[in-house]
Amino acid sequence: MTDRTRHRRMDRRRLLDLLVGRLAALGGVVLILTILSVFAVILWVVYPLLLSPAEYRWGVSGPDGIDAGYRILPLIFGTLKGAVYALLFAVPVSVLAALYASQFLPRAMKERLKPAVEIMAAVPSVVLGFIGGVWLAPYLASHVFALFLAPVFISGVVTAVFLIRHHAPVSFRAFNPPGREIWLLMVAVLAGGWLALECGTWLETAWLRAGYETWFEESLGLTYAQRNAIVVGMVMGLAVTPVIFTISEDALSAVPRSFLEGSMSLGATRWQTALRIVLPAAGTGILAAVLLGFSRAIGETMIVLFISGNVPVMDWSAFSGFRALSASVALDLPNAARDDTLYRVLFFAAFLLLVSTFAINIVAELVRRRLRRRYA
Amino acid sequence: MTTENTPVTPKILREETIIDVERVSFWYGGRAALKDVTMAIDRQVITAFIGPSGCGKTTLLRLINRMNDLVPQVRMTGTIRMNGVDIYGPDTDVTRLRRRVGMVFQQPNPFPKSIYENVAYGPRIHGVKSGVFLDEIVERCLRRAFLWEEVQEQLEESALGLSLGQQQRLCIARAIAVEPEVLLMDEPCSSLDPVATSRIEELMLDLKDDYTIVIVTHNMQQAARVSEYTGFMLKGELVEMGVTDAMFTTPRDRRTEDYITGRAG
Amino acid sequence: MGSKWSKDDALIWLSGGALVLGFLMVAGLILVIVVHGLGRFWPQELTRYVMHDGRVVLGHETSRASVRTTGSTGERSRAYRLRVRTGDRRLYPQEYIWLEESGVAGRDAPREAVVVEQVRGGDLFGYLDSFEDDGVVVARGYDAVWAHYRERYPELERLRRQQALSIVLTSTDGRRHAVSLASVQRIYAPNTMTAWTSVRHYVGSAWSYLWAPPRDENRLGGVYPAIFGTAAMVILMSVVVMPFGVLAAFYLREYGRPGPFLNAVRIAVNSLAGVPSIVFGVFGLGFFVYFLGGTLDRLFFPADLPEPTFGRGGILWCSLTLALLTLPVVIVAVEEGLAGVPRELREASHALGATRFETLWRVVVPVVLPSILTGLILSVARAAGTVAPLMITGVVAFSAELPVDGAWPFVHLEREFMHLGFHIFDTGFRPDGGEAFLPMSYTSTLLLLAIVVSLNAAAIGLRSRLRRRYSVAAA
Repeated sequence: MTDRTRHRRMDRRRLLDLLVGRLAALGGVVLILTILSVFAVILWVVYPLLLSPAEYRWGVSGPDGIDAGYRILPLIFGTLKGAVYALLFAVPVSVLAALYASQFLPRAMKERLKPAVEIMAAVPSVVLGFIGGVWLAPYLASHVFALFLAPVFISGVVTAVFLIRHHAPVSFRAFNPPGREIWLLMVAVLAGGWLALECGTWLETAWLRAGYETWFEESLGLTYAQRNAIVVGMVMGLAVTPVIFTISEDALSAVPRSFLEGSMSLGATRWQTALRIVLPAAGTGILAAVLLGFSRAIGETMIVLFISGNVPVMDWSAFSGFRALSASVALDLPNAARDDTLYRVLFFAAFLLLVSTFAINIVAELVRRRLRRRYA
Repeated sequence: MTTENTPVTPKILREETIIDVERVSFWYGGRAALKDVTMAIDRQVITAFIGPSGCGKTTLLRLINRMNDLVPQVRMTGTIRMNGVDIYGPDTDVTRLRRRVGMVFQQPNPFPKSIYENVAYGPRIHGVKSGVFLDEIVERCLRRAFLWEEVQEQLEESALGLSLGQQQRLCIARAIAVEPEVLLMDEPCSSLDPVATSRIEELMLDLKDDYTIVIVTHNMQQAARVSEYTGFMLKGELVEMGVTDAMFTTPRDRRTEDYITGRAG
Repeated sequence: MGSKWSKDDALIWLSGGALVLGFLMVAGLILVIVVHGLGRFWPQELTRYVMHDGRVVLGHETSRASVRTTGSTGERSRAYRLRVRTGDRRLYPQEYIWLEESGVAGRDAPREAVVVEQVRGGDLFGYLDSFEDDGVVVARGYDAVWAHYRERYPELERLRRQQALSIVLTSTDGRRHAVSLASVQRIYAPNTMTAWTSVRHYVGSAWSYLWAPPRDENRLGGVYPAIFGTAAMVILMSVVVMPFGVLAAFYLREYGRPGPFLNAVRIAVNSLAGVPSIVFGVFGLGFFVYFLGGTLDRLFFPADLPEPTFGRGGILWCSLTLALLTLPVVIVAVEEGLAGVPRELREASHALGATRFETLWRVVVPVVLPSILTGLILSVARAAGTVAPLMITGVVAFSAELPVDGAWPFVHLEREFMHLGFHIFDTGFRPDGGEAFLPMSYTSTLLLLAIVVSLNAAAIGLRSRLRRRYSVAAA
């Protein structure tokens, strides 16, 4: 190769390198612009609304004749209600489960658990919403008593199985050796659920004169809507459980072993250590997990669309439905004329969702980064 | 202060100097890694740098082929010249420089490709397209690295299947495939067992006829065995540099003596 | 542990219960979907219910509900009601009716009861009466008609064009109803079916579910257009999101100068991943549909205005919206891959005189290729399961046209299209009269779930293999 061709080749290589570098930088710039444009475009539509009187902003009927009942406050309320019920279900379940998985589950079992949780997280929300609205809601409506009994019965049976296991002869250990507790637990939970169903049905026939609807009205002064906050809470709770579980579990597992050993060497039990040392040490991580779960819940659309009943009522009752921001956008935006007040109000709803979830995610991410640095 | 009382310049120009380093200081962020180092490296001999961990010897090595360009937030002052040309000068093309100054790393780092592709990688980048020519280069370099006999039947297999010692010799073959003038070796034997180490040392002695070799090692015996010149570094300073035998028998500096007799470091 | 136990051990046990509970609930819901979704293709026996009041009903039971009754003396008892599907509205007033179980005098499964699946419209349940050619009876009675039908069946496609042939059904109340053979999809007699013919029927129904267009306003038939639409949209999305996502990841990991700015961008990308999908839909409507689409219309299709071409929802806008939605998925996956490439490999390449690009292209990219593939699979899975943003950017419940067909220019990016996830919403979310849609939506739910879960399982498998390979390489 002569020196001249070598030089020319060199220039070509350098040019290519430079070009690809610029292309990647362009990709970066477009990425940043894209993120900004999401805010800009939505704000652009919302902007006139912000200038107009308050009643437009909150969505009371405007001059171009949108539904007089269209107010945004009940929607914000509904979104919060749904998220709160979802967290009421998901936080105890997923944090306890994460504590168990990180501290007490054998390693091999945990390795198998992780992909299962990932798959759980991947179940599309339309699937959960559909099965929740079409099957679970009517099912629970006809088994209301069982619903109330289930928490008591399940924890009762689980405890009972625990006692039996402890007092059982040693030969039982061969049947369910340590490390395999989870299978026995599965049987116990199933048995508890089944027992709650049976007793609920029996109680209902034995105790109530008419159906539970009448009993609800007469004794509690409540109406039971089939599509209500409890069902939303359960199904949306299941949707956010993997999120909260995964992040909490990471945070709990990241607590250094030396902390545990220090605590146990002072004579603390495993549970005391988990509760007093590990849980507080991972506290901020769990907070981040709950925040992310909350953000996922307020933005969830298909589940609330299917199960919440989409009625704009404002009460905290567990047995009534609600209407959420996200569901309203999905239901009404296809019918809104461009640049109409309704159109802008729905963009405003989306804007609220965007800003709140984005902010929550940033906070959670910062918390997680700090945590990672601390234990890195 | 160090510069004045250190007998820095063993410019025993038996042959001409290929690399000279003049008053080089270097910082990672705010931390100084090299302090005012001046020295020269001669053509076609083995020069070794010894010293305790973190003394800056690897940093010095990586400055010679500008590998530290890839590290963010660093700062350098001073001049490094190769054949009299400033390698940090505006006219220097860093990829051409690196082609002339090859490097072998502490951990054997073959690409996750076949043995053949590992050796052919460099020539390909530098424009060799002909298959016959490539085959020839691969065979020559593998023979040169004493590896041909062991791998000639498995050229298409993954390089990751080789033993660590073989991987390191493959890395040497890969480095010489682009025909460098200088070969920098950053503790090339630190992850190898004694047998593999002695093979690499043999190889180095064989290669020095064609290449200038600069080796960083924390193994004093190795420096004594293979090198003509040795430099001793401590806390970013080049304490002493001279002919290896002289340095190990009659060190001029107290600190060198402490180190090689095992009293410090 | 012994026989002595402490409260602490019990609490550990209970926290394990929480873990199991979450799993069992999801597993239970999925089981319901699987059972309902798979059961649908099995030929259901047609039952004849003879009521005490003399009414006769032909159909099959879909559910059985308990009702509490309180007698006049205050005694409580439990009664059951049957939900019975009686077939197409054309033959009976309602497709689904309630029957008091106490009112049923007898039930049997008449051999000659048949189901007629129509090309358009629902299924007819009845008895074969006669086979007519232009009003003239050719065959009469179940066996004769059936034989005639079987004989003609192979040439059914050709016979469809002859309007004259028709099959006459008798309903349970004795009314006769002629069905033109042109509109007959298939006739079968479920009560005479053996296990083998049932299996064949099952396979055939499942097959046509996948490959046939919907019938009776999505109540029956197949979901082929929805599968096709979903696939087309996802492919289009991948074409957009993959180059962009990979490039952005390269910028974040390889070319960008590490520092607070890059950190901020990375946090923004991660936060973008947490933004609800519906918000992307709103952005898509405002930006892609109205702004970009409107501009395109003004520039290239001014003749058609005010009728919009691109200025309304369509597959292109849906794809772009989902590309935005899945962008963080791709970036995160590729970045993770890039972070896993050992620094030593890059250095080795640089030390041989390779440029940044050559190092990236020849050393880094081959190593991160599986990560890029993982990113692709995960983004496809995410896109296939996302419905909300599509509802406002161009998905429709029913469309006779596919986004890709034989008509010029073959790919119709502006068309509205059917989508599997939206199909579930459309068929599953009916305020009333939705029962007839449910079997369909259960099956579609199962299909979507299967697609998404298997894609995710593939991604997980790929990733774990990748991790193993790295750990081998590092050893």
